[in-house]
Amino acid sequence: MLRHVLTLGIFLALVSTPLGSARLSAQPKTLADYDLKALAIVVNRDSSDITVIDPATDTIIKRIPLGEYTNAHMAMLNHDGKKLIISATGRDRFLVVDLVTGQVEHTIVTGKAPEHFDATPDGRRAFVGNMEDSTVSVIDVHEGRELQRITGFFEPHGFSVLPDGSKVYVSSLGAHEVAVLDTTSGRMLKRLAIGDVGRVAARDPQRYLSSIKGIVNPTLTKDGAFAYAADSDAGVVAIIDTRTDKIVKTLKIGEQPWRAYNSPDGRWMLVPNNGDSTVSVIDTTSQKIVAQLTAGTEMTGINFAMGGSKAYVISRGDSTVYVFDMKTFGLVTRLKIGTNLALETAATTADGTKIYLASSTNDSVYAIDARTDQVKQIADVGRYPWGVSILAAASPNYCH
Amino acid sequence: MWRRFSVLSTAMPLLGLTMMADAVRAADPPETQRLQERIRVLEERLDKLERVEVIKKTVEYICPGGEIFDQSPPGGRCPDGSRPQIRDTVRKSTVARRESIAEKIEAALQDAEGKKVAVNGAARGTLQQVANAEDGQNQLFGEGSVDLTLLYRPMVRATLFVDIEAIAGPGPDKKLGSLSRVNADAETLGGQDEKLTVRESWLWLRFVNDRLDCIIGKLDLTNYFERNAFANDETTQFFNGALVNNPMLKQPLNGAGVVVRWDAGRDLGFSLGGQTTHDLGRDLLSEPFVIGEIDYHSTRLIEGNYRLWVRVSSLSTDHERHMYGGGISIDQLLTPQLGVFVRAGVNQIESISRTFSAASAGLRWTGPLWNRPRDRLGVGYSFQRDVPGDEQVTEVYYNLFLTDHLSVIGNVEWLIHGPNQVTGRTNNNAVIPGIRAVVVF
Repeated sequence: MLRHVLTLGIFLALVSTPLGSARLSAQPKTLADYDLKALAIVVNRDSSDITVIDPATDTIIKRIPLGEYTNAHMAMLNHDGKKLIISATGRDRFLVVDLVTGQVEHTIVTGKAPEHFDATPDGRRAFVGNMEDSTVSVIDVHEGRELQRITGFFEPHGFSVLPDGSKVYVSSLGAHEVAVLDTTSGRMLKRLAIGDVGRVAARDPQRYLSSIKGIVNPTLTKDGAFAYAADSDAGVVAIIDTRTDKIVKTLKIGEQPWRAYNSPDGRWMLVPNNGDSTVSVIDTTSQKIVAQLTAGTEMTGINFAMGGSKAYVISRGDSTVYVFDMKTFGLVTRLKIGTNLALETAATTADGTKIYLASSTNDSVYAIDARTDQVKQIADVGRYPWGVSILAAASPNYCH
Repeated sequence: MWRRFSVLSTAMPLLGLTMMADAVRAADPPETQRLQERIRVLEERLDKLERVEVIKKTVEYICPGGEIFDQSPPGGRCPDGSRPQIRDTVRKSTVARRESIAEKIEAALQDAEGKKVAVNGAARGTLQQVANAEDGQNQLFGEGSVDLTLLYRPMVRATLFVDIEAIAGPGPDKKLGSLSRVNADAETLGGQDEKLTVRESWLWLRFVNDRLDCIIGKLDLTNYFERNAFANDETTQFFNGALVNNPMLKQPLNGAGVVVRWDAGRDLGFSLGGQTTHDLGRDLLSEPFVIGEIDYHSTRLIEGNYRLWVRVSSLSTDHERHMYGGGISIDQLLTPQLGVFVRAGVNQIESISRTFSAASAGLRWTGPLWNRPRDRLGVGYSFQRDVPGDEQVTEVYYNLFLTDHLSVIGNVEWLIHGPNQVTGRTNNNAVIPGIRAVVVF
């Protein structure tokens, strides 16, 4: 009898285990079940929310509302991998959001129109550029408060914190300079002149005095030893030695360079030149231009994929992504994404096999498989998606 | 009944307001907070609408390594001891400014104005009667001319200027053949009866904080050399050529050239100019007219200008023979209304031992008549010794200012003595009264 009971019990146990597992797997998966650092975070400017995409399935797994008129410009997962930090441009706020729960934990008042930012590697401090009052807000992300508001900038647009977290480089879009800040004290250590536009402005005031296209972003080399700052009006790239904070070299580049993008192996800096639709390739070792690639119009960014062997140049003007082989610098293919699309910025997954590209005017994100160069549309991600970020991205590209 | 209705009509709105106030008071606090928050959000957004971008030109001091200082670094030296590079730059900032529609319209009009080509001009009509000359020379001469000037600034510190002139009617020198030329305006005819020409067409560039001027194109060198505040403009001042420019200047007709002027500061300037002596289409560089000048503007007591010039050129009839000349030109105010001028010059022609010379002097009186402060009276005398002979001439003019755009100038020239290059004889005591009407638009 006892033997029968034991046999029945073992049988029931064996049968019920998979059934129980099946019952468990049927429960809705929460964000806590994902590797947050691998998720694609999409900022939707007009719908004032965040969309989270699972790169494994290319599906939308969560939308996080940020509040009316937020019109967020940039969002990234903080380095702790848990909190989303977001510039709420429309409300002059900086938000700290728990990605898993979707709760806005801190709403921090900043200067006018905060857009781009960067955070220290420990995730403690964020430096946010307030475009309309030309100040930089220093945010304590953990405590959720503004520590300082630093003046002396001209549309502070691009931010790069050194890998050791000691200094942050801030580029002014409304001038031709890069400022160096001490991340601990917030003190401005230096202002560095990138391009000399006084003379060209005198020759062509209608162009240079009606608008200024200064420095979009100071891009650090992988080791943080140098920062590359492209000056759009001056048509140069200045190389800043971050140890001495001196400009060690200025390269004459194409017309209206946008900003520099570094390859995952740190060997190349690519600079799209929107004035002549070319891409300059700079060897970071020799600090020389080694190639000039022909690409599209109104380029908004470059993403590397497949370990840096391929470069994807985004052309908003052509609604096309130009794919280059980084060994031969030859054009591999042109990916015509659509017609009259406004392609914005993209992020490459950690393994370097996929690129997620925001397309604002049709509320979509396009997933590009770098192995096959096949493109897949993820529609209705939110209104006016402006950019995509992945914390563990092999090739981030946000600033535009 | 009506009174009851009247009481009711007064009480009802009051009752309504009371009920609304009660409703607001009764509204649950979260709803009130939500409404207050919404008002605050909308106010913040209104603030954004008032922001405008401003681009400012500024000076920056750049030290080695690219470090920027907005002002000269302490001690005028960079941290490494070197002198900073001073340069212009532009910067943008956003400011909160409420701009009225009137300001916007004004700004738009100014913007449109700045992009336009400025068109100006002047028209002159002249009558001159020769009297007391030899038989056959006492005639009435009429001359008319129109100048159309185009001015455009393609960039800051650059000006493009074009002067198109139409002129017709020979002056009295068709008969008198004077050395000094009694109608300086008609000299541009070059012997023809009528002419349409581009008198000047040049680009004026300014460098080095506006201290270095460079003018390139088809030039009239007398606009830059041997100027005189009281005797240099045949349109509004003396009409006799010897009282417009120094006869020893021997400038060629307007042609391709370049002028460079360096403002050395302290009211001192150095100019160098060169111009072809041939017509366009021929050799531009052979035997050019080259002139240098030092000018000084005095403001110690009352304003005056002092100029010393030298030039090298060649004979218009024989480009192989050089001419060397020099001179002075002085204008000095004695009182705010009364000024005097003196000019003198010499000319030496290669292989001719004789030195030729010219001198002139005169005065200008502003507001000579009571209640006519903008009228001008000028009196001048000129002596000239040149290859054909000696000549003396005196001129008096009165510029009757009517409006900003219209003036009438009466003048009398007395050709005391001088050779007649038409007949080969002599002009003695020829009197040439004239009247000019000048319209500026």
